[in-house]
Amino acid sequence: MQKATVAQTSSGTNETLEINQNMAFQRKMWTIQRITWVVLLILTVLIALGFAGGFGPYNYVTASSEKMELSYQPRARRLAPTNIEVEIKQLTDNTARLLVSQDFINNYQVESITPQPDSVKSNAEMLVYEFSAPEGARSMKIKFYLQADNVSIGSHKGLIGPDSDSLVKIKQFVYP
Amino acid sequence: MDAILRALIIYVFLLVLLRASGGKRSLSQITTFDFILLLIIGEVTQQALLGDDYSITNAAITILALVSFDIFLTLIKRRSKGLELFLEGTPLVILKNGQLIKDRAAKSRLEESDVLEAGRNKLGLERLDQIKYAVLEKDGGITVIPQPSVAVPKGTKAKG
Repeated sequence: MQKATVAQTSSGTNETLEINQNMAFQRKMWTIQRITWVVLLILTVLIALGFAGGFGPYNYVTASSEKMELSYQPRARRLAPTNIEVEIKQLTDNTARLLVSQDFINNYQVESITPQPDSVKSNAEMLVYEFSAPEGARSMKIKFYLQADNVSIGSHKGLIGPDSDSLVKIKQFVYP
Repeated sequence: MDAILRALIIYVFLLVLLRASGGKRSLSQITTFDFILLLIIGEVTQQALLGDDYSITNAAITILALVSFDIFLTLIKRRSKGLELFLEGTPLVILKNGQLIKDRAAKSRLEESDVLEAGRNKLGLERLDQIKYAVLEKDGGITVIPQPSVAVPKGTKAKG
């Protein structure tokens, strides 16, 4: 630390105060403080918009194919709840199927699924959920209530769709 | 491992954030709002530090990690003057011969009334012109040095 007396930093008489004052550092700190305030403001706005997960207009995406509409939050947080909503269209019988990549869904604890599936089967890379659709229904909405697992921090990609020809990409980043 | 990592991230995050954003006055003069802020920070930090593991082992690991970081930082500080300066800051003369150095006071978020209050509290001084120097210390306290001509009551102290 630069040792200076007040006599060196100002004009005047009878300067006797011995003090380790470092004005160069202090000016840097004031600059850092002001930059930090601006950064904090920008971060607060970005967080409010949803860039750090949670609710916000920029944390909601939709994707669709002919047979399905998908909506979910692209950013989630570890151990916090997140949802995936699927609407399956063009139902031909009373059974709705939904294929979900195991690599994707295994990163989450599935808290619940509404409506509850009648069965869950596993094929090579996908989990196949089967739901009973109401009589004569042309579409069906399904909601997955998930929670990012304790170790699922990072980016997770997968496919989701009613059959192997209509799969839609799903990608979510999980914050620590 | 994750408990130590969590403790390290929270420790460094709070250290840098409070040092870079608040300046020294924020932790020295605690107003009601600051007190509420500190309570909330403490509550939020507790959850982030412990996660979903409320075991005694996890609490002991977290405390052990935090104390270790603190000791480690103290050791590094002794070797690195730059780090010591960043973490502790530097004393700053904010008033000389009764005249407030306005740009320094403003940037330190201090007013004349703060110096007068320090003078009253510590030395029983009545006016600014009775003060020779006022120094904003590294810990955020204001030290008041009276003019030689001013009689200071016995038992008072310049810094607090």
